[in-house]
Amino acid sequence: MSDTVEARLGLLARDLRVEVPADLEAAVMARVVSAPAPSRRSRARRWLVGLLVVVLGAGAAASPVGATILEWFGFHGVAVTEGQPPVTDEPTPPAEHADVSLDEAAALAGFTPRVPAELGAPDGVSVSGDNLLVSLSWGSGVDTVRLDQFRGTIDPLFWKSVDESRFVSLDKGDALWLPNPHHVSVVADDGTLHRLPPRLAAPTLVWPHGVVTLRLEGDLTLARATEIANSTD
Amino acid sequence: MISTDDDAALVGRARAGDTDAYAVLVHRHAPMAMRTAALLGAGANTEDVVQEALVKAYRSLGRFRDDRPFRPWLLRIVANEAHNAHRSAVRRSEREQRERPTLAVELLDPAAEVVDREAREQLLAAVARLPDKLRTVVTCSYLLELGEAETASVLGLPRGTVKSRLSRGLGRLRDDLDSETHDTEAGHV
Repeated sequence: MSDTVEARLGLLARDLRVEVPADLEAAVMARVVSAPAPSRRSRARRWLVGLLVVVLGAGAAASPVGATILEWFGFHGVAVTEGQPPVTDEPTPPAEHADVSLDEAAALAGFTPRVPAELGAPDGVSVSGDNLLVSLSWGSGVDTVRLDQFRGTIDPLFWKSVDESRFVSLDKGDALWLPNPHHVSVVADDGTLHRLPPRLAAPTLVWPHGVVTLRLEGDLTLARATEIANSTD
Repeated sequence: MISTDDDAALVGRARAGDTDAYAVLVHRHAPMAMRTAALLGAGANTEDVVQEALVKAYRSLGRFRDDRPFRPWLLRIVANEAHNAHRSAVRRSEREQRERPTLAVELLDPAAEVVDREAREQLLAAVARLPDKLRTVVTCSYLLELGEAETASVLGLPRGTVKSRLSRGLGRLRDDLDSETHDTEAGHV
């Protein structure tokens, strides 16, 4: 074969035709016109870009966004309300299926999912339909430990201390520890749409790692959660 | 629909609620979006994939960073949608006939005089047989003629990974085509 494969690919590219269907632009614009305008977000709103994980007490679970967020702080897409009645039910973190490989998840989400050495290779990996959220899980049933990861914003953070959650120190920075079962919703960035149904979450540790925010959930003690977080490279 | 405004200016106006500005962006980038979706294996879903991607892109304009070029940002959304469509098509066809879908040979322009059509089809089939990771990089670099940096942002990969997958992909294609040539020759002897 005299031609190089590179040259042959170049020629092939010229012979490939993909037509734009006549009604494509009209179909797109019909949907765009009825969608809300994609306005630039203010600094406070931009913390919520991409993903907003709202942690709420039982009483306010129906409406995660809006007036019910009494005192919240931005934590790369995480908002917390305080002063809600405690939850008495037993949560079970959902396990993920072995849907995609870690490499595939990295390609879809655009960042490399962090795997804590303490937990080893995950039993399940999944990527949300919009490629924003990568979820890993280990074990099953009430023993399930899960680690959700998403790219946060690069805005500077500030936070307010609140009663029922507390800041703890990891080797490489601060984390937020939510020791008790709580309601969690994952909602779209315009605050109206539930990405996932609200559910009861087990104790959770949230911490930023570079541009990615990690959220570890399971029936864990603070000591164990800290150990796992510190083993994440 | 004709506008000489650059993409960044149009994005700014679209964000401010000017849907006509977005229509210009759609018109400008629809051909490349269609081509990207089709060549990355969206198959029969190409039109749906592109429509979905263009609507998602509009909804996500708030996240677009002004200091970056618009096209790779948009094509990345297209590539993600195409990837999902391709993945489910592969699964379906594995269930149904244990065969991967090939890149559609009908993309070869039937009207134009395509030189050596058989060889072109063979090459297209060889690209389709590559493992996904190599196939997408080869497709972006050669069939979509994106540069290394743009390929990296469209596929969400570091540039070094693009480089190494490209060289592995080309190597595989060479081996694949060589063995096929030899088979054909042997068959004729």
